[in-house]
Amino acid sequence: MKPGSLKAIVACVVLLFAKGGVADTYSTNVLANLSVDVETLSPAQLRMIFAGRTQFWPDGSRIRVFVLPSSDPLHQAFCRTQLNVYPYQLERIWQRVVYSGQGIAPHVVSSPELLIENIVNTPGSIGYMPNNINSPKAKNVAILGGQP
Amino acid sequence: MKQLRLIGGMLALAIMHKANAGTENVTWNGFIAQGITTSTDSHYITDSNDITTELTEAGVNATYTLNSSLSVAGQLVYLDGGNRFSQGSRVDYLFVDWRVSQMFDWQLNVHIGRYKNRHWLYSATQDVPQTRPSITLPQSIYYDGNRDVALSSDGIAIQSVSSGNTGTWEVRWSYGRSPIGKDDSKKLLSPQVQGRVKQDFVHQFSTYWRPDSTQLQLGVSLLQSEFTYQPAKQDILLNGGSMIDRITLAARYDSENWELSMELLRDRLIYQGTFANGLGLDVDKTGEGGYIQWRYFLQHNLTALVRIDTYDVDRQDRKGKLLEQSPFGKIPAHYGYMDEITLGLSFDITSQVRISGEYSRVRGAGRIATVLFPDSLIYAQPYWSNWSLQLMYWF
Repeated sequence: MKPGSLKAIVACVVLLFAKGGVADTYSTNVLANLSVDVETLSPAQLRMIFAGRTQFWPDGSRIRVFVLPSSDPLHQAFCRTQLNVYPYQLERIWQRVVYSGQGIAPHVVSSPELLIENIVNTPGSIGYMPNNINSPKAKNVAILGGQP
Repeated sequence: MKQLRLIGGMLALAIMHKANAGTENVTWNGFIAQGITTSTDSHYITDSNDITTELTEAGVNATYTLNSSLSVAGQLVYLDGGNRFSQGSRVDYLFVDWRVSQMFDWQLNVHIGRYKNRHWLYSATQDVPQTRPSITLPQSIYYDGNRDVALSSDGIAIQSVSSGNTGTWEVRWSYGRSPIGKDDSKKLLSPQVQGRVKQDFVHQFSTYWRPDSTQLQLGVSLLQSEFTYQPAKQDILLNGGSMIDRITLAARYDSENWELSMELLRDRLIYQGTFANGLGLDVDKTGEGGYIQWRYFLQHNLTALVRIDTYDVDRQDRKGKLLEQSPFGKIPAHYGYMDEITLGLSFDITSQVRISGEYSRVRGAGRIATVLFPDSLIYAQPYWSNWSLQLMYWF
């Protein structure tokens, strides 16, 4: 094999397995119901919550996760930038959690307006919103070392 | 008729689910899948190359949360897969889930009861049609003849999931046993045996790691199990036992538009026993196999699949030549291996309805039945095929 061919193969393999860089136009904030007694989360903790693996807050109350449909650009941006997963990976994890008796899947709502309404009205809830949207009736949860 | 009643019942449950998805402490979900299928030149699914509707899967699962530390979860499933499985209902799992540690980045669970084996890439939900990548799973790893024994066991399982700056670690350990029915004993050994195979124990360990910096997941799992034969008063087999040692390596890479997964296994099987006619059973062989599978997401609701799966019953006899000299009667050489290529397509009609279709071309028959005695083999030509089309709905 010529050295040039080997380089080309190596380059192709590197490109194939390189982390998918996506130029997301959406920046997201993590929002929680005012009853949630948590101010900050690490990216790993956030991933455990949205993957359905952490089901209870430290005070023992149930975590209720609200998300938009997988096809929604805001949900896709949140998965990639905050959770470092693709939406289909998250769905695969949810199915695994639900159908092996390990917990409940997040509640999927159809619009950002419904998402914020559910966070405001549901104790223990958590979700996300575009950076430029805030609600005085919900709290921002800072993600340490996460998306600025 | 039975299938129609089952579908009607499940749809009624789905409507009830929509009306009331559960109370504060009780949640429940379900699925129903019905399809058509056939195997040609093999009795793997059907006996006479006929197309059959024996491709039914229906299940309901529920979780009752007592408090933040304890819950009880169970699933009842009805299954009809032609010759692939024993037709009927079974409790796939029913266990107490004790959440020992609930830190935000470390979860430790203990499952007591009929726990679900979660040691391979798809084993946690291999009984749930919409969670599988294809209608039939690669037989090298997810051997249909072993479905109930592999899916769950009665005993204890411990699971730890931790997530940090280096990635996500999952560690699982389990110890238990599975009940084996009289019909399954005949399938495992020979239609002539009158006694019963008992699983003494199955001991498993697995760990998976997904580094934070890539979309790659790597895993390894170990299994050890022993079985004892309990003869009937009048029997051809007076005593017997077997032991299995198995190691499986797994890797999965997720890209934006495709997913590549692979599992490789090596299993050592030892059979020993004494027959009424004085003949001894003394088999020690190591099988090897695995699959590589590529799924491409053509659109957000349309997925294509290509998979190559291979298994050799005995790594010292990859072409099966020694099987023809078996002291219990000649076994055709093509029962010494099985290589399969599968092409599939799945289309999500809605977020809860999917139609999947797949076609497999197979060389050999080493993974459609236990290759031990000639009378326990399932008929297959050296080359054969099967296809399936299945509509599934979940709630």
